[in-house]
Amino acid sequence: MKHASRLEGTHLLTGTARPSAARSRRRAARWTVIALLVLFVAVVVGLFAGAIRIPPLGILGWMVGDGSLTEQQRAIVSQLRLPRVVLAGLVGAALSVSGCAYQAAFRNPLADPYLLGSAAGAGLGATAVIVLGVADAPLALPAAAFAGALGGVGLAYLMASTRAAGRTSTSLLLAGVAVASFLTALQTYVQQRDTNDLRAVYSFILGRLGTGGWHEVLLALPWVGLACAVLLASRRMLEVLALGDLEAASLGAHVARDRAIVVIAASLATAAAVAVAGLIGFVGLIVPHAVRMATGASNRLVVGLSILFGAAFLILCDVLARTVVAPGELPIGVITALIGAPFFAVVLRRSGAAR
Amino acid sequence: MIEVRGLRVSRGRREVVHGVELQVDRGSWVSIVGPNGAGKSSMLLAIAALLPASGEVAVDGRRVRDLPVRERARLLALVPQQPVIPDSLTVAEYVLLGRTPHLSLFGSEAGRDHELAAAILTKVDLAWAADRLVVTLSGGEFHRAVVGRALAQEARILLLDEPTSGLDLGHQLQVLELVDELRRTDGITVVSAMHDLTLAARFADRVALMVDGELVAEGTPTEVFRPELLERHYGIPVHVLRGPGGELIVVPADREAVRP
Repeated sequence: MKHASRLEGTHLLTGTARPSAARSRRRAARWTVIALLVLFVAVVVGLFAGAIRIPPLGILGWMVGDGSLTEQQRAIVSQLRLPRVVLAGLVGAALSVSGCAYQAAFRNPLADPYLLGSAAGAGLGATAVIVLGVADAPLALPAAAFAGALGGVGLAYLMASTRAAGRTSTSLLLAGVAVASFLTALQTYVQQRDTNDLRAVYSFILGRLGTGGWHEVLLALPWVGLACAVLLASRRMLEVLALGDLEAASLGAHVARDRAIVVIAASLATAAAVAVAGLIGFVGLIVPHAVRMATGASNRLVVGLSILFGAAFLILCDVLARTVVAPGELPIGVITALIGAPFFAVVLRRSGAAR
Repeated sequence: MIEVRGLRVSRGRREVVHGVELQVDRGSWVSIVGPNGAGKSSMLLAIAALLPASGEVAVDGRRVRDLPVRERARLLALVPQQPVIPDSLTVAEYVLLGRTPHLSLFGSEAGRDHELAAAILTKVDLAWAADRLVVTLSGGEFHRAVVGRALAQEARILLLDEPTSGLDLGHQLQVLELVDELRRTDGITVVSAMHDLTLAARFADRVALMVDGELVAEGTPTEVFRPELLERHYGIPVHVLRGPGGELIVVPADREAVRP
């Protein structure tokens, strides 16, 4: 009897479900195309911009395999500009998608990828190698920052899980705050003992893409790729987690395990980003929100769009960072905040008016 | 059939449900009633193993707590007291979240899930709102969407935690009548925690009066809703009246009028 009544309802209603599903698929397709176009434009602009003038048409030709550039011009594009653009894209994608994941997993719109102590941990790791004087060894700094970031998140998890109520998102959040303060204090202490290295330490903390090359890209790529794949696959899970622990559990979710999957994936991406680019604020916070407000879509769409728009956003910010005061360079974190905050204000106002 | 034996629930250090026994027959509607803070919600959530508890809850002889989480959610669906209202989900997407226990970890909905969700939207009278955002629904519409999400779990048992709180009279009836109709057509078993005694009497086959974490009376509404019993446990004089259709109406009595 139960089944019969369902079939009857199904029969009546197949008509209304389809348009709904089809419409959301169309919207997803439209926005994905827009995001890919924006990303493409950002990459092209990123390759064009720089202190040395290289004919744009020559670069476009190079992109499709044509050889009108000189040897030196090719080297600048392929060994300096391209890795930097790719690295900016990877870092932007990593921070945005992690921010999106954290915001859903902790049900906190203010959550950013550095929330659980990854920034403080990375800062401590980087400061330690700089102070120890081994920062010039290949990949020593990124490796230490990566380890520090994961260590920070791991410590927060450990601290939260020792409490009986440690499986809730609030206790993890609080543990993250405690770990972050502790590690930041430790980092400041290490740094103050040897003030000669202040400049190097601050350059890391303010974020930089200038030192990036193909080595850094190769270091970050597997982690960022893995995290993006896991988080894309977890889009639906994020919606369930966003309902809160009780409702998610009542829907059959393994809340603690699912949140751990999301947090670990996001933390790996963040650690990789911090390792190769230092701390770049604001990206993980604003990109997912801007995407959410612009599209009005749920995480099913926002996760993927955050990856694409996050990459484009940071590539463009980096273009500004290296052109505004050329031949000098501004810290990328300054640009993300200077551009990001007003842009965010506009999106906020517009979405407020739309409601 | 649901069998609850010696159920004890603690919240923090305080025990709020002290060894409760209850039986719910298949296809029936049992409402747990009682004053605020009596432990109604705790008991309901413990039945679904959503709160740590001792004692035993079994459905058709299978211990609920021993079932895997997903299987549990295919057996018991909860309509929470104050459901979270997601900002950016459409009503159709929201109802589809009820398919979670039927999907794998990284899985997503297939054609059958969409068809089921569409059928449910008609049942809860929200087909017209399928593409609207959940945040734009009125209170009564949102409650129906939550019931829809629970139905999408295809569970045989529906647990309603104060299903009418925050709703006006018309919407209260709308939600409860919807559940009652589903119970009759789909054979769903319903356990609800409610504070409105008149509504409990109207919809439940049996009511269980819970006071300070214990069930003090259990039976049909007529058996349990006796003025002297209610007065003792609610601490106020009450009238139990009969409406024009013979339905029970429980109202607080005027203290002045009680005086001789």
